[in-house]
Amino acid sequence: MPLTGAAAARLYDDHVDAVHALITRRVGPSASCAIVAEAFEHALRSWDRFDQERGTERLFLFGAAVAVLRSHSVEERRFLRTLGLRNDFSSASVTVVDPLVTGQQSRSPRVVHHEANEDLLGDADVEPAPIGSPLMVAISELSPDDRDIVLLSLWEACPQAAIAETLDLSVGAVRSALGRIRRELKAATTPGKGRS
Amino acid sequence: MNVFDEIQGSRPEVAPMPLAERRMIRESLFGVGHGDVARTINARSESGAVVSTAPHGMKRPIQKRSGPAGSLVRLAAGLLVLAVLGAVVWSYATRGETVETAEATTTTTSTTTTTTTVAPTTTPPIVRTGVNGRTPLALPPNPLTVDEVSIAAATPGASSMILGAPDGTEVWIAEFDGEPADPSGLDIRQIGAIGIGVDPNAAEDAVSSYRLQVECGFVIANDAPGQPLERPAIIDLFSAMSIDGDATIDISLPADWSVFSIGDSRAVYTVQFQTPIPGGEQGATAPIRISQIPGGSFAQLMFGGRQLDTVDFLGAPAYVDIGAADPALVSVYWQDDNTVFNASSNLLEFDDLESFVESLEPVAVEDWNVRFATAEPEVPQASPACAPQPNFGPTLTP
Repeated sequence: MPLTGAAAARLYDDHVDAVHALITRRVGPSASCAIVAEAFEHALRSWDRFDQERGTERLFLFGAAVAVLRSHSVEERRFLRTLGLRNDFSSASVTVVDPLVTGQQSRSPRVVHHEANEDLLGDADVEPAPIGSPLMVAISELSPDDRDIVLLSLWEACPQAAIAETLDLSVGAVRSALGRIRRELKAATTPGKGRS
Repeated sequence: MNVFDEIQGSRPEVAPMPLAERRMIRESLFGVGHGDVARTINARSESGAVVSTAPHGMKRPIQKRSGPAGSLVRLAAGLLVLAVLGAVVWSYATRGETVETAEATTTTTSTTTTTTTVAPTTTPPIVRTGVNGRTPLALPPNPLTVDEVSIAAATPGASSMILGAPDGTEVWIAEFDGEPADPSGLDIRQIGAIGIGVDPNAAEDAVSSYRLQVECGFVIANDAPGQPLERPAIIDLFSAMSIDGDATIDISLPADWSVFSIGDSRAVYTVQFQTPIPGGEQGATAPIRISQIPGGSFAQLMFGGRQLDTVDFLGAPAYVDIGAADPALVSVYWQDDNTVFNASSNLLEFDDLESFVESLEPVAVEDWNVRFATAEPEVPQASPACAPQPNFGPTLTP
């Protein structure tokens, strides 16, 4: 049965920032809002699968977030490939600017996109050439499972057992995947050893 | 460097989710009624209970805050919600009914409550922002990035008040015009002259909320956060109430009770700026939200109730919300001339908030609308056929 009402609202209030941060790190600020909504919808709809004995609410929501991110892998890969150029989104969100800033007045506030988003992400229909750090480009080229494992571990500080629970894998599989991914990323970012 | 260390080092820092986006998603998931932070209107579809936006918290002396004030996240409770709550409550009061206008009866009772806010101090008001009747709003003179701006129309026939209880807590009471009242789902008992309804299914940690039984519209009373249902002081208050044939509710205030604020619903002007963080990195900004109600009351500004304490703000008395769910939130209420204000942020310190407010300059309503390209909202023509509509009586007038 879906989670509804005040309990659902409380869940949202308690965890939306963490879910938003996870998603924003993966797809950037301009795409994150809609995906956050999708993630919560997904989690609330499938709430009957939440088992308090097996993990926390936040972990369950992280699972929903990475599940939803799978359907946005194009945006994710595109964004990760730009990441080497900046790592602070504090001013990169869409904002509405006081018309006095430009001396213009209009009937509705002017929506201004942060320059970084436009310059780096470019036309949505065009896959940009890798312009970020070689490491982030390599991460963007990992399989979805591997990307989730490494980023849940290193960006979200999830323990291996939690990652295993989230991705429905064994702890051993996560552990060995991390070792393998480390080797692959090292090779991919070492001159002369990278993948073609 | 280890490749994993390098990945950890490249972990992007993400600013708190913009308030506008947070609210948009929240409302798309749960509807407007589930106000942010805490229980704005809780399970209204079942019980109609309107619950305080103030989270639980015990009253305690407050001095100027010196710690960092954090993100804007839960602030919504208070203020953002103001932009929509009046309409929400109104829509509840008239839910499922068509508001008749052209043929509406003329017997609808207009409120008799005062339209002025009770000054909580005998000290001559210090007009911190310089507002006056001609320029009742205050805005920063310099252009700043604006996250959100809104003007919420007044709710016709609605008024609210905050009463001070003997123990220093505050009780919030509001009345709204509407169609025939629906007491279904409430446990109702008679206390003195008034029927008092309580939602038996309210959450244990919910604010104690009461529905005063009237024929039309609805009247609610929210006790201070953390107070048990039917505590002796609230029973004393209800016992001191009367209601006449015109649905005029009066209170012969029991000993040591006082009227902190009372007033009709007025238009609420709200804007959220990004302001430079004093001493912060170059370009770093923090959200600061300001709500203003010319001719309004603290009771409207503190919709649902708050847990307050007094504080010196720019050399004059003001109030801080000490029950906010976000401990980093600094939320200050004050009155200048005939306008009540709330300024809040959780990325700024109290002193920074003072500096920001000190920089504001008075502007006319027309100036606001030109600057933000907004327009005054049309006031809904609420003329419910049901009569009599509730109102607060003259003994509550200061």
